[in-house]
Formats: sequence, structure tokens, C-alpha cells
Amino acid sequence: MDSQEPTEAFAARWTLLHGLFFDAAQEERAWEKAVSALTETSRGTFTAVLWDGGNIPRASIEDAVARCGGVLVEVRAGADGLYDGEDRLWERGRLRDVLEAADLGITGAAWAVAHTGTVALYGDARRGMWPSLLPPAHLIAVRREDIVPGLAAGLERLASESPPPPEVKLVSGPSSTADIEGQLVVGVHGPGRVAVVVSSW
Amino acid sequence: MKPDPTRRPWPERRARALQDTVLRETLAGVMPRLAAARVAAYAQDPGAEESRIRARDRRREAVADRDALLAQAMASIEQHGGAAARVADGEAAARYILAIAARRGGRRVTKSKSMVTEELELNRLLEAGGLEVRETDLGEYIVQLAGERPSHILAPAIHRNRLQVKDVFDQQAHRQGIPAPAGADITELTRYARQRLRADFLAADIGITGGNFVVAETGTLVLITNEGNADMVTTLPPVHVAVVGIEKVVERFSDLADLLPQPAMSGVGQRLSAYTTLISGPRQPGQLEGPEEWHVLFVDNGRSAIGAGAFQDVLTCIRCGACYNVCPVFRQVGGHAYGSVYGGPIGAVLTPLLQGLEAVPDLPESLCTLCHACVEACPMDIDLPAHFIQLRTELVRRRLKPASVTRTYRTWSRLWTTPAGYRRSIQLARLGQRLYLRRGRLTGGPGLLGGWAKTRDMPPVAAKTFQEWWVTRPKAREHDGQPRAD
Repeated sequence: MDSQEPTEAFAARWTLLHGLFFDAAQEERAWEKAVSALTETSRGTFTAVLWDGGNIPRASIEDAVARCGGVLVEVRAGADGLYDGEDRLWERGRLRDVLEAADLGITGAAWAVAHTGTVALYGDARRGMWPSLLPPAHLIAVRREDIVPGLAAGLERLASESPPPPEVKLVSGPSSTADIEGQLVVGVHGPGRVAVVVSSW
Repeated sequence: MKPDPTRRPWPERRARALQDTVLRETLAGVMPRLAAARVAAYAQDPGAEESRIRARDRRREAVADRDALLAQAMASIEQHGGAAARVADGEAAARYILAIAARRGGRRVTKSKSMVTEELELNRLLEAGGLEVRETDLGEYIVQLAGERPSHILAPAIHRNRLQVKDVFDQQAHRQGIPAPAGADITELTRYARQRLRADFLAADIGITGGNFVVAETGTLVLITNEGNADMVTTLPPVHVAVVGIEKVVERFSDLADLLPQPAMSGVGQRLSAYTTLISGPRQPGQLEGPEEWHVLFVDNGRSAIGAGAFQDVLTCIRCGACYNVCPVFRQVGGHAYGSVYGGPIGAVLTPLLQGLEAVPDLPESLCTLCHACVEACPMDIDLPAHFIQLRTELVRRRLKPASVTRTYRTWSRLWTTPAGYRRSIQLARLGQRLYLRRGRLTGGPGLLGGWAKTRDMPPVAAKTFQEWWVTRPKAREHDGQPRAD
């Protein structure tokens, strides 16, 4: 952090952790570049699942997925459960199976920490963890104003949530292991490719 | 914690470890790298040391006040729709989990890495009760398939190289009639494990995890991993059971800002692990992920007995592995040579405290050189060298060392604490050493010295020592050039 802007500091740390970083204010077609980088190993068309509490620039994401030749499935929390774009109610098994088969999960983030290169995801009735866990790649939309300098500031925001989300996940880079000969391998259980796009909306 | 009847004597375990060239090469490569990563991470982060001190102080306060905080944590968990229970040992924990399985009719268990369940031998107890248990941390998966124990707190399969891992996977693939890993490339081996374990995650009836911290104020359970397996285990099965030591409770949610980075900072030199998961309850109405039932089992298993005495700071341990990484003994012999679930410096102190000194007298006696590297690396400043000395004192006091050994050291200490005794012993050594001289070096000795000299040479006692020369030196020109006072 120190003298750097939070966004720059976050970008430096996040990329050090093998995450991909795009700033929509700094580069053209940032969303498209992110989707493309995350799905380059998918042959032909791919399926992306967007599931978030609602505060996410869905038009930009929809456009980026379409330009990359993918199919976007969007699920949204309704009054009594989760619905897709055709207003069909989803039950748990379907949500899990669709995400298990998807090539890309897309979510927002509650906040992000510059000092540690961390993105905070909340799991509650409106949004969940599976898009960031089951597909081989994860795209995270981070609002510039939600980047805080240190972990303490982020946890303060979490502490002010009422009721607290039953599950919170702090993600600092891709799923990784060094269990065989101490050599780093990404994508052991969760996504091996993760990208953050920072923007204002 | 029960003693292990199959435990081999230390000289056997040591010999086996020292002959294992794969183990020693892997340790020599990985351990110094992890230790250097910790030093670099602190050097690059100006606030890290202050944060560590705060984290240490919060842990010390929490351990000192652990009964009240445990009661508060259990109440908070229940308030959020979870179930909390205190269990005495592995059998009690297994009974609790088997009762859930019987009530719900599930028998497939997935687990993320947990040292306390290793300590309890929970897998064996659950399997005896008819459950199928699958370890899902890559390293734990490897050692489970190989029928071994973890050899490092963070990297359980660090004693195996890629070819040996491929052997284990090949055998599993053969048994199940599925394609083996394409090659011994580490990425390929990891991909194989990902595919196998993904099927287990999706089919599981019960998920079992450990816990890095539990917050008394909010009932929040913290799980720290790099792989993301804990997130599978806590969101996919309909039941999640966390098994945590009673000493893992901390007081306030705000304490986490300093606590969460500590395991990764000290263990591997990262500011945070890839995944830090905070769980505060089961699935809520309208929520599709997460377990229907959330249980937190607080395990005692000998911890209360460590209690308030000189060893209390041992309970502040966060299981980061930093002391393993820097220990010169661990770097040579690895984790299996300890013959206990917890290895490294902390294991050599904690195990006798949990099992009783008579069960594992060799751990404090033989697996520490008192070099103090561990206390320098420990983020909680646990005074491990002082504990080693205290445990060694206990060994003598309780006559757990052979009388001949105690007698030898006592004689040595008596001789060398007076100048006359020291001179006498040197004279005796000069007479006796002729029997053990080979090419001008001492290569053996009587009694205990013989064992010591098996792997070491010593220069012989000189024909005339410095002290002897000093006494008899010619005193020709005393006070040369100085005016005499008289």
C-alpha cells in the first residue's frame, strides 16, 4: 500500500499471486480481454455462469462473453429462491450441476484488500461460493471504491453486516498446492485461472 | 492421546530416515526455501512484525482465559443455528459423528486437512464404524492412499518425490480400473487427483474439517487452505463437522485482522493463504449452498492438563510449521522419524505433554540440539528450547533415563565444576586415550563416549596442555622494561 493508490497496490500484489488483472479505466475492452484470457483453453464455445447479488455491470460482462463466443447463464436471487434469465426457479442440485459443467464462473466482490491482494466473497441467500469454486476459471468484478488498504478495514466492513453472511471467503490468487516436491501447481481443486476487473459503476 | 504401540525405538527411526536419500534431498531443497520465504516476507512488509506481536498477545490472552472463551464460542455457534459440543477424545468425537451418519443414513465422508483429527486417529475410528473417509488435501490424499502418516504439518507428503507419488496413483487407478496419470509430471499428477477428488466431493454425505481459529464473540470458524478443498467440504455435503482443539478460540472478531495472516506468513512467507474461509452458520432459509447441519466439536484430548503451568504457551501454537522448516534435526530426518503425529520442535514438546513423558521420552531427549532456531522462527514466541530443558530435567527427576546415563553425566558435571576436577579428568583422559587413537584422532571412548564418537572424531588431549605449560613456563624476564615499584 504505502504511497501507491489502492488499485495499483492491489494489482501489484494480486498479479504476484498469479492472478490476472485488468483495469477498465486504463485499457480498452478490459472485460473482453479478461474473459478471453480465462477461457482460452476452452475449445469452441464455452459456458459462463454469472451469479451475484445484483450489483455488477452485467451489460459489460454479457457483451464480453458474447464477443468471446461464449454462452452466458445468469442466475439471480428472487423473493423465494434463485431464478435464471427465463424466470425458472432453480433448486440446489441444478445450480451445482450447471456450475460443475461451466467453463467460467463470474461474481462480484464485497471488498478487496490492496496489501494482501485479496478479494472477499460473501455467501448468503443472494450470492454464493460455487461460481468461484467449481468451474476451472473465475472472473471477479471489483468496484474501485471497494478496494481497502488493509485487511482490518475489510473485516470492519464485514463486521458491520447484519446478519453476517454464513460463509465468507477471502481469495488471494488461484487454487494452488506445493504438496509434491514443494513445486507450485495451480488449479488443484478450485479455479486455476482467476482474473479481477476493476471498474466503477 | 494414547501412546502408539507400534512405535519403533529412536535409533531405528533415525537410521531409516538417514538412509532415505529421496527424503533427505526433498527436505534439503524445500525446507530452506520455506524458511527463507518467511524472512523475505517480513523484510518486505514493514507492519508485519507489529502485527505478529499483536497476534501473539491475543493468542496468549485467549489461552489464559480459554474456559470462559470456549463457553462463549459454543453459545455463539448455537445462536447462529450451529451445534457445539465438547469432546474428551477421539472415541467421543467418532461417536458423535457416527451418530449423525446413522441418523441421516450417509456413509461417505470428505475431509480437509486437520492435524487434530490425525491426533485423534479419527479416520480409523470412523472407518471401524462403517464410514468411507476420503482425505482431500493433495498431500493427505497421497499419504492416505499409501497407508502412511503425514510427515510435515503443511506438506504431508513432502517425504515422497513425484515418481513415488505416481506409484501410489498408478496402484489406485489399477485397483479401480481407471486410467492412470499420463506421466510423472507434477501438473499431470495434480490433475489426476483433481478429477478423482472432484467425484468424491460431489458424492459426500458428511464433510469434516479442522479449524484454524474460532471467534468467541461471533462463533466464526476460520479455515485456511491453499487448495480450496475446505470450501468444497463445507459447501457441498449436507453436513459439516468441524473438529477443533479447545485452545483454538480467540476472543474478538477484530482480532482476526492480525491473526489471519500469521499461519501463511510464518509457514510459507505469504501474506495470506489462497483461501481464508469464515463460517458463521449452516445454510440459511433461501440459501442453496452450505450444509443443512453445522457442528463444531471442541476436542480436549489432554489439552486441559497442559493447563496453567510453564508449558501454557505451547497452547498458543497456530500450527504454521515455521519451526519444522528451520529445525536442523527435522531437516535431516523428516517427520516420520519423530514417531508421532506432531513432529518438528513443537511436536517433540507437545507430544510428551499430550501423551505423557514416559510414552515418548526420546522426543525431548534426542531430537533437539538446543540451537534456538525454532524460537526465532515461531510467530507466537513459544519458548521451545526452555521447554526442552524443562522436559529433560523431568526425565532425570522421574528416573526415565537409564541410571548409568544419569550417573555418567553427574560424574562429569562434578569433575568439570572445579579447576582441580577438570585437571584430574584431563590427566586421566591422556592416560586412557591411547586405546582409542587412530591416525592421531580420537575415534572412540568408554561408556557413553563410545556412542557419541560413532559418528564423530576428536583431537586427542595434548601431551602438555596450555594450563600445564603456563604453570611451568620459564619466568625469565618478568615485568620486562617496567620500573619496579620497590
